[in-house]
Amino acid sequence: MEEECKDKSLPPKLLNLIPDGREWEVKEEEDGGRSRNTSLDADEEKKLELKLGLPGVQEKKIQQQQQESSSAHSKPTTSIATTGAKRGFLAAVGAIPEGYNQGHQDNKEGCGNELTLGGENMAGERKKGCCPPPISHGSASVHRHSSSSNPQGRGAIPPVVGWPPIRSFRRNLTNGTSSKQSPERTNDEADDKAKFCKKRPLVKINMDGILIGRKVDLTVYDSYQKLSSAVEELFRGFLEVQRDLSWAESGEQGAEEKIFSGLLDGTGEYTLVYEDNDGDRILVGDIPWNIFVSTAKRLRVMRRSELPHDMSGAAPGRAADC
Amino acid sequence: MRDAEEGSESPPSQMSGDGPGGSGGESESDRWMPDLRGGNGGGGGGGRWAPPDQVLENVLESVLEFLTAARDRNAASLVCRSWYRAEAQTRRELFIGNCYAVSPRRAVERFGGVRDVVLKGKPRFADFSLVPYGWGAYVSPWVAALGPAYPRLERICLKRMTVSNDDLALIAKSFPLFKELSLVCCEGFSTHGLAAIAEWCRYLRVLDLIEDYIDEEDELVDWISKFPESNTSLESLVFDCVSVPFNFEALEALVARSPALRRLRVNHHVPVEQLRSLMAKAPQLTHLGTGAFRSEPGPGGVLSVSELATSFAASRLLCLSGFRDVNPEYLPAIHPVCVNLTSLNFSFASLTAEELIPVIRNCARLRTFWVLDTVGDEGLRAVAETCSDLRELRVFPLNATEDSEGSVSDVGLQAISEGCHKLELILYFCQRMTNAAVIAMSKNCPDLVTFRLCIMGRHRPDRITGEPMDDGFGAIVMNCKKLTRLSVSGLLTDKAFAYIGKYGKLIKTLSVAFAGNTDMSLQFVFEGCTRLQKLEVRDSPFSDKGLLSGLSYFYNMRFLWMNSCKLTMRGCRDVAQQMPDLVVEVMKDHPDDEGEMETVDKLYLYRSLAGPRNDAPPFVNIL
Repeated sequence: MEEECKDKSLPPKLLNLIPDGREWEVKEEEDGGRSRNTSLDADEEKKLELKLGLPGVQEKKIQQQQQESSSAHSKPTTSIATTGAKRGFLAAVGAIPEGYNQGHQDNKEGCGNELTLGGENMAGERKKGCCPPPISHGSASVHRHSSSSNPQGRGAIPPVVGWPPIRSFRRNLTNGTSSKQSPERTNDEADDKAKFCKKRPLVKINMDGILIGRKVDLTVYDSYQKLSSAVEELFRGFLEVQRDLSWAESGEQGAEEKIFSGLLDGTGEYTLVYEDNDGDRILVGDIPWNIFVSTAKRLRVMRRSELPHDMSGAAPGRAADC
Repeated sequence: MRDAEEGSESPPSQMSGDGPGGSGGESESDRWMPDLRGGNGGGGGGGRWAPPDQVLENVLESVLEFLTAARDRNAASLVCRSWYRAEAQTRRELFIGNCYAVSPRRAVERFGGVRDVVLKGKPRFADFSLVPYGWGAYVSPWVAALGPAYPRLERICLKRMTVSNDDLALIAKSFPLFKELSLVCCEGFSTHGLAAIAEWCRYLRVLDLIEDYIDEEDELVDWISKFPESNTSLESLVFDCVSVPFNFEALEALVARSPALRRLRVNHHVPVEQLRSLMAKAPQLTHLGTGAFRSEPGPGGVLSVSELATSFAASRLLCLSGFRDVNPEYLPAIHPVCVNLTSLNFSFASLTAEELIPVIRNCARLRTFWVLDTVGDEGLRAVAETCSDLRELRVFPLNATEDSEGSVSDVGLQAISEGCHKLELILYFCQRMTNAAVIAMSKNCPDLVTFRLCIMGRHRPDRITGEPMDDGFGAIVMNCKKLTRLSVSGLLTDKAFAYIGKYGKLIKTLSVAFAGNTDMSLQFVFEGCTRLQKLEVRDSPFSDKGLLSGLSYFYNMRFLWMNSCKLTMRGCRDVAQQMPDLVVEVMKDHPDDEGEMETVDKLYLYRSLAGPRNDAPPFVNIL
């Protein structure tokens, strides 16, 4: 996420890839098709569309592409989308500079290997249809992501929808908090639903020590401050109830207010963190608000004592000033 | 002769010339069915022709009561009109393998005394996000028809259907004697609907929610509190997929007043402390879904492993599952029951071999085992050494990606085959496989009915020889003479499908992904697999030619699914035109493409007596 703030030179391209805050839906587009094209630079996207077809056909295209890649490092210019054979998977845009991509790798499955894949690997993968391919061909990560790339800026892992064939509640078992293994719809399905039902995505928020989680619609707030107040409102009631009924130590009347102060600047008893697409847990407040809205998948009000060492402590630049 | 073994409604072509209705020269809508005017509503008696010999018919009905298998009943119904009528009045379980194959009205008109309905909706690939949201499979029209027709209905089982809260409420209110509700891989409902079921179905015995997608809602309903306040008849309550928090005290109380409860599977919000309390209140449980299986200390403090073990020792458990967020420290607590366990599901528990082995070594009677590949080949070896009675093994991947390390391989599969000779079902996800291991399994496990091997890297060959996996799968179909379900993967050529067609005579379900090189593959399958019911294909180089090679077989199948192959609109239209009793649905990823030659992304075709459905969303084009 930090990279995004630094990459001020990127905004135009960045914005192209994140049209009206929908990029995560786009990124996880199921039917992996044209709709992703429309959000990316369509022209570029078409050129880079790769598919697995009959081995012979594929070979030609690969060679074409490789020749052109070798001459133009950053952007493979082959147009593969010839026969209109739109597959269920789509190559990522290879030319997106790393700065943008690293923040947006889709690491849902816990395999952070996208960065290591280069054009060579992709070539190896493409060839596999026609002759016994190399055994480990570091090939595609599963779920669709529109913009994964690698340091060489080349080649892409065509994400394949629904492969391997595992139901969504069996995915993400590696992630700590998200390993609640609930058979909820994955983000992609939820986004599909959003696509059809125009429902605004709600972000779950949990608070340590409170069993019931809540949901918030981040788009109704326009700043971190407002979010913080909203969080306080959401959980204050629960805290009161739990303190009344529970075995916890006696609290003063005004204790609740104190709980929620300092959520954002790391000074309070609790602090607000969020999870992004990769399942990383990040302190809230560092990035511009609207980027946060599109990036945050889940929120948590954590006891500051439970933060990992490298996260805890008031970070100087953490004010909600964006 | 091809059989529609499971369908309660048989396809026209099969019946023509055989059935009482005669051959296919009749009207479109009633091709072969006899001219039977069913009664209105539940009885089915009004308007019926009076048979010449009422006594004979009554005797027949009494005899037919003993026929329970759908296949037998389908056969009996074809003998003559009298048998057809008698069978229709005595069929108790209505199995509809494709909810769009027949209209609710028609089903209800034919069968008079149904007590038990099973309905299946979406194609299986919907589980893997290949079917966009909103595709269909709504249960509403069925509930609307079943309600008035079968007021004595006791059981509904739905799989991959869209079920709304209103549907659940309607079910709850339509059937006063309702006993069992089973929802598998369904979606569209939430705790509101569950509350209606709990509240209104006073005789409920079974509420099984299995792998459903519970709708998100802003206001959770405390549905557990809605069960009757007196003693209930509950025998099975499975809700581990309802991932939202629930009222635990209400559950405790419910369990305490449900003396018949044998099966309880809770969600991950239940820590061991609470689990222990539940076990104490329901010592008669035989199936337990253990929730999170970690500690979340309450006023009583942290539960010790030995205390938990005491609870297990006092139980009569045969099946364990859950372990959703397991703390391996607590695993030893289940040792006391291991010797009795017939079923163990660790498929959400990321355990190493070291953590698994002490447990599995005690499970000599295990018949069903689900596990994550984190246990590795070593863990599987331990399973093989102990569980000689194993019938079902499912190994799921922790990292479901193509380039993950993968901890299980051909070594594990070989070990299993050497230890578990009675294996009937295997589902195995891996990154590396060899033909030799698969061949070994085909020889060591002759009782295999279901063989589903998923080599996660696409087009992966034998890791040692570099050859395609043709011979391995060939051996499976050759040697496993009872095989009815097969899923293939890895690098496969037409040769594999030639084997499948030649030897896979009992195969009903075949799943193909990233395989084959020419249309001959499809042809081999269509021509050879005479019992084929369900064929699902993705990302394989099959074109219209391959599709058309199946024309004369489609009426004998429940459905064909193909996505990301090389089909074009023209080919699909050809099929639609030549096969009027098929519904041919085409879905496009790129709606703005026009023309006959452009590729079809998703094809789903199925035989149907109901014709094209009227609830298709815009992205579905019915040809």
